[in-house]
Amino acid sequence: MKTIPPTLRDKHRYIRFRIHSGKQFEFGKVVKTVENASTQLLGDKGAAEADYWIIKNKFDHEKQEGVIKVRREHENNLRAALTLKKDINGSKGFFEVDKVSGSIKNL
Amino acid sequence: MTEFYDFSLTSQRKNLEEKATELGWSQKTFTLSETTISSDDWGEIKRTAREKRKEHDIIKVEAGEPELNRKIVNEADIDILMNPGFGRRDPGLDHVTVRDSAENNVAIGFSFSRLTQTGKERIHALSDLRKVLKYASKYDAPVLILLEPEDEYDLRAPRDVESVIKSLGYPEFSSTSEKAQKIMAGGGKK
Repeated sequence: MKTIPPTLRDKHRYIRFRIHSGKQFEFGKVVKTVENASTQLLGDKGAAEADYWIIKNKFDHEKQEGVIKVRREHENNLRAALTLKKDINGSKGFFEVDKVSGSIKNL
Repeated sequence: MTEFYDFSLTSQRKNLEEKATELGWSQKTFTLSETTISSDDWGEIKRTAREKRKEHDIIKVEAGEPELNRKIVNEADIDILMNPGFGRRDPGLDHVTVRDSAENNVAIGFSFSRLTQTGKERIHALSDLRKVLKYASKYDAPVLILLEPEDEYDLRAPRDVESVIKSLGYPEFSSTSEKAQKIMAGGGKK
């Protein structure tokens, strides 16, 4: 596949999040929760437009922190969706968005 | 530095102070005391608000019919009108009520728990909030989302709560700080 030129490339932002809960969650469960949260608030269309991706090798299981890549101008919608989630995989807990940055390096 | 206030994080919830401060909320509200009045009778609301004014810093009143809500936002002793539109098909107040609330520095409050429900309840809550924000944006009225946490898992970071308002299309609203400061500056009307 050819490289997409910069003018046509989607611009993204990186959201660093932390999970506050009495339990520790596996990466797969966190992904499912984020998917659930985004679809509930934004719907299939909105979630598709946000074009988010949870980066696996940036997920710290011990600290329960991770990074989500999301399309620019949709980071606030995704943040709101995570805020309105009141449980994680059936257990009490919530997401806190720590930082939003244009690059992973600056997170 | 911006300070974030939530008028449900008061002395009655002192046990959550550490976690709330860690998330970024100001400690100042934990020195305040609050009370909520729930009644359909205007006379009773007015009487109770006057009595409790001397004991409490923040007085919240649960919203009722639109006519009652109009009287509430014109009452000097009341700080916050809570959850207009709850259990109704409309937002529970009109633009005139919102304008009056702006003039009298009475905030319109929404419980965060309404927004974390799923399905129809959340849709109605977000719809009511959006309509109120539309009027409040025109008249510069204070709108607050109150966490009213039962435990630490009901807490959220201030910027995350702000993102909910921004996602509805009102990025100019910083209701967790500037509007709340206006009410703090009102000194609780004591």
